[in-house]
Amino acid sequence: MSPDALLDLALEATRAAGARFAEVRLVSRRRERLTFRDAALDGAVDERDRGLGIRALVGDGWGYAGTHRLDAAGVRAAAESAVRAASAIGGAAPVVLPAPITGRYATPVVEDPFAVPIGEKLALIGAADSAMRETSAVERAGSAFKGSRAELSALRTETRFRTSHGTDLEQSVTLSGAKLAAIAVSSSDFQIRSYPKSFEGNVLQAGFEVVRALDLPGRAPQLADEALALLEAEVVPAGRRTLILDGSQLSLQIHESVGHPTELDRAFGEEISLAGASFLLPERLDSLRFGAERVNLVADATTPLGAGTFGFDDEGTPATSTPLVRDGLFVGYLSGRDAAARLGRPSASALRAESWYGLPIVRMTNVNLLPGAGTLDDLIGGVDDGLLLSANKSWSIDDLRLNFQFACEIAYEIKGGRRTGRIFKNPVYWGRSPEFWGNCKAIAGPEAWEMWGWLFCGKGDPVQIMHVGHGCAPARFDDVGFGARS
Amino acid sequence: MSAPRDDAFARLDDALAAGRVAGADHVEAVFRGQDAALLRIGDGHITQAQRIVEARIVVRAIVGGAAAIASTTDLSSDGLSACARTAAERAALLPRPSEPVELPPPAATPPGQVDAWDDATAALEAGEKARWLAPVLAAHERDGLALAGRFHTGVRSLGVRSTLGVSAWHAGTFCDLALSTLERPAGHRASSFRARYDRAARLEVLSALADETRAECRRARDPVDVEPGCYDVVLAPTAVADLLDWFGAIGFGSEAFDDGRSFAQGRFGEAITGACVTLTDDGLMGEGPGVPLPIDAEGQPRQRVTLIDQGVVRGSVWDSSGARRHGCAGTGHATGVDLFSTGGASPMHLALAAGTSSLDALLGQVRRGLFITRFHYVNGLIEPKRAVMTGLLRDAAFLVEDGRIGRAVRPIRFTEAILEAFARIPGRDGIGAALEPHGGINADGKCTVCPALYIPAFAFTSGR
Repeated sequence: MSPDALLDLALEATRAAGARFAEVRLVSRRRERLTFRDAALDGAVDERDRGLGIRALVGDGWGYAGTHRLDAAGVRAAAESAVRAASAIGGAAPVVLPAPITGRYATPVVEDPFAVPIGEKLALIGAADSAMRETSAVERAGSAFKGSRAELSALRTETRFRTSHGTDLEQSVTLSGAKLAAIAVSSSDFQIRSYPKSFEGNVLQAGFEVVRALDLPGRAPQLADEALALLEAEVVPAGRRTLILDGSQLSLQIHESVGHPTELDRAFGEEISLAGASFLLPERLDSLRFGAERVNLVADATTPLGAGTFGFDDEGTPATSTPLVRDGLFVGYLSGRDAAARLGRPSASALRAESWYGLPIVRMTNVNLLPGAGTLDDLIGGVDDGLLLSANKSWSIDDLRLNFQFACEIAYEIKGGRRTGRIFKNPVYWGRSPEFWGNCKAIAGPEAWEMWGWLFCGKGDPVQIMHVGHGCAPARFDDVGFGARS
Repeated sequence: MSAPRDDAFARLDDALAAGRVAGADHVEAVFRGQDAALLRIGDGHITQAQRIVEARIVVRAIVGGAAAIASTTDLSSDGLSACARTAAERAALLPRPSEPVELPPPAATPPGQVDAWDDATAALEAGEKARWLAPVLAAHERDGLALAGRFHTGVRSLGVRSTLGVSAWHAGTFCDLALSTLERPAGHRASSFRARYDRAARLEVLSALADETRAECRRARDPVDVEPGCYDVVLAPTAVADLLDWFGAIGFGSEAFDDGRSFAQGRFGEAITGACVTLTDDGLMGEGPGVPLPIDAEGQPRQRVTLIDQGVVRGSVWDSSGARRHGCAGTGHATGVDLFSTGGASPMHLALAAGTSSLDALLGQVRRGLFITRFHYVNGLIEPKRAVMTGLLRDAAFLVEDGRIGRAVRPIRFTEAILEAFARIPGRDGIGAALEPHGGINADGKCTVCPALYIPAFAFTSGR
């Protein structure tokens, strides 16, 4: 069956089963993930899935069904399941249906990541591993240098979206990214240094050109040196100090303490079953001081390179940019159409689904911290006694998104406006979200502003995984709590 | 039961044949299926209802000792051929590795028999679930309370065939039930939580859990602040499961051994925690409750593995490749490929051995401390060699004074080295006698069975 015929059949079957409105999504995904251990390919995975998601409206209740069965019987069964599911829901508020639209979107890609020969990818990681092993620190370290780890990711999601009222959309989103890490161990310690970011690395909406631009071999020696040096380093003393976060960690700080609490379904108490609620209750909109006046945050689904960029969200709303925090004041939410309507506001184009096998829920797009002025060195120059932290190691935040505690891979000591060269291991910092953002004393400028992509944001129940973006420049926070030793 | 298995095996055999035609020396094909229905509840009403029908075949092709994996949800002959060809052609392009990949042969003994199926649970649809929930929702509204939660049921199946002759199949039902009772605004005031992960859905279990959360939520009103510091704690099984989920991953996952960050590495035969702590992984769920899974993603029988015996590290879990790499025998714990994992082994069915005490007896050992029903957002990556974890209280938690539960307390953060904390459990009378099964948050089939624990001097490091 052609995609058009399949979508038509799904719409017709859903209406015939009793829906007053239906959305159908035909989603094809391809994901390539190459993992490397000491330059050897440890995992070569090429995943493809294709399926249909149907969202049916009965009264004011939405029901959802997803199926991989794309024959007529499978489509009709899914349509009936979606309508039965919708019939079990009363609906929290009257649903206002959108006017039909048509459109197309595709990620600008210079070099298709799926077309790059595997040999080139192996050579790139091999060169990085060799560069690591050629450092004098590694040569001296013996078995303390455990080796390198690397990962290359590519993801493409192609979506056809139609509604029973005539909306017809088509989009293709491509992500590419990489990570390189060095590991050092002793009998009682494990240390890791990652570039450009820990876990999956940095994954951006682009082709393989963003991987080449990372210069993994050029950054490899520093990773190995620092991982080994961390084995001998001290832990950050407990106390309160000035903190500078680089983008690899600040992006996660934004994610956890700004992105999640500004999800409107959380604020309405509809994500309690797993993730929790939010300290940003609707009655605090436009009145709560979230941070210092210099703090401006937006949910922008149009940011170039953003892992949360698209043409249309998964209920067909065109991508928008929505202020979340303006001059330090809490002014907006991430939302979909229905939730936003309950506040009398337009959708923030943030209703997204992992794939056809998940119903769309409110998700982050690109939650960005707008730039200030100056460079990272300018920020450091203003600090008399502080620490610069990089690369996340551990993350935890309470169910209202207030109390957070993060650990990073490394802390660089700052004294008298300069880096001293001393480093600390396992740096742990903690705080409360509004006070932390209230103590934001400086944000570097546009020249230091970068996009950071996170592939594995979990939300929903069962959890759906979503790729989201965070644009930011390094920022300074004063009076931050350090150390949480048991 | 035989029709789904036979159909899956026919498609797996198509994939094996296509892989061989495409030049693979050996091929393994894995079928993963799910037909699951979900209701979610938020702020006192049903907010989401869905049904997902999903089947995927994962093909691992080996050429000259190099392995490549491809997967597809297109189970037509053409779809499977394309998938197998992708895997085989990709494997052929890879350099011969220093550690050639070998598929495991068929196991000498078949997997253990498990009771994993419940017809009524397999058939449970949204409408029937809504009828089960209606009186619970009404009771909450009468009390001015909000209900939240998930009611997720269905069927999961796993089948494996390989050109070495492996042939394994399992299908089972599950019910993943979680209920929270909350004062409004939900999440900001008193709340209580109960969850159960089992092979069958039962109305009486749902009703009993809801009665418990309503009663406990009432007791949790008007919480007080407690200062950070060390408190003797009694952890309900839900809270213990939160810790064990991370404990298993950072201590006994094969990737932790590959990276050198496991706290168990190089310490087999050594006491690493308290002598009353015995931890096993048992996919047959020999302790009774829970959701069993007798085979792994390589079609091998899941063995019951003693990880810690009376505080001493005795073993870990392995897939075939990890076992070869680390000089151990495979234990049937291959996770297979998913969004988070490119393979390896991980504990999926941890069971902490029961002790001798009732919950009241555990509380009776506390002169001044806390009773904790649940943790939130635990993370075990701070110092994995010491199993240092952090997380927060969530939902009902109470002061305990002279063995009696007192005022509710507001959330506070712990940061604690769990090996050292478990070493402080005073003995088997510091461990509950009753076991509860709990699922993992990713709905990935993980099932942990554990009792309540009494742990002296648990470290809390910051307040909310």
